Amino acid sequence: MTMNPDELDRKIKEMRADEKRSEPGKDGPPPSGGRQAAAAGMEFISAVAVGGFLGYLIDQWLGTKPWGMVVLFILGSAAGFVNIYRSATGQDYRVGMGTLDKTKNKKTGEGSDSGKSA
Amino acid sequence: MASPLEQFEIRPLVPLSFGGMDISYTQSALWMTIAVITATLFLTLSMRNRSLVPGRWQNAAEMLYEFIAGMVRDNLGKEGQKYFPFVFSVFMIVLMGNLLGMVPYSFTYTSHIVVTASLALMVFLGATLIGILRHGLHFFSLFMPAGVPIFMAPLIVPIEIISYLSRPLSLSVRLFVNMMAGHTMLKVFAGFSVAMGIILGVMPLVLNIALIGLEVMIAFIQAYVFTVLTCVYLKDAIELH
Repeated sequence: MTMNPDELDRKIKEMRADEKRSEPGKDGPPPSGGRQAAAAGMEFISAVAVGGFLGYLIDQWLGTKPWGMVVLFILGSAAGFVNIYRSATGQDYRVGMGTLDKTKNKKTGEGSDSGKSA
Repeated sequence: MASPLEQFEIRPLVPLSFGGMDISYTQSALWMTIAVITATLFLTLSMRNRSLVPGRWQNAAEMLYEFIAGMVRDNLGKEGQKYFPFVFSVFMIVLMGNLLGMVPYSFTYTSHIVVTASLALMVFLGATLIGILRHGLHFFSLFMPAGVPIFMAPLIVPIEIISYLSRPLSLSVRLFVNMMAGHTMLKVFAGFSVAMGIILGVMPLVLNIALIGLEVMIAFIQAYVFTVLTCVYLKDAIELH
């Protein structure tokens, strides 16, 4: 198969354009609702479990049974909701609300992250 | 009939013990060895020719490389390039575990939480150490988001710490649950085929064929998810908003 240089140039340009166009969707198709819900459940439960376990350890250590577990279980639930919020808004479970503002600005600025938030 | 969970049983191949600990070479360890050998052979042999126009094998190896290289570039930027070997190794060991698990009579080591938790803890502790080494004590400002009034700190900081500590748990549980559930499901439908006889048993068999396709896809997706989250955690440690 032979091709003259001009044609080759044109083809390369076409390919580059295609690549650029597909950039936002690089992360694959947006996850389906069920998958997203399952992921959110996992995020929530893991935070609650970690909170409860930490509370248990603190109770064992300081002998404050049952207060450590009660308080940390509630804090763990709060952390679980934070996790769900982050995964639902495409924050990728990042710690720190500072990142939220940053990525929001980036999103409106470039719009390249739009695939993630969908 | 065998229980669908029997496939996850660990069987020692070479019984060993060290200081009272059971460190037998199990079939799980055997398949990890096979995974490492397969990945190494696949990547080195397929790149042996280094032709400009890649053949099938070279193309596959280059695709994997570029996939992860792109992911590292997007998430970690120029500075994260030195973590590429680590991220690629994590990706290959998870992918090989998931895919080799689809070979009949094999063992899926990623279906055991002890394996996925070790991987996740390695990523988590590694990312935390990198963050502390790069930023010193400033790293802990990660738990106090910018712009939060100081009187909210007693509430926000524990929540952020718990959220941070829940990462290795959700990372390991996600991979382990997907692998275990998938393989249990395959075994259950295969059991239906046996129980329903030759004529009716075709129906679960057809379903199982579709499920095997789905499982191969999940093997890729879960390896991808594990690697993406590894990148995200490293990014947090490197950039520290």
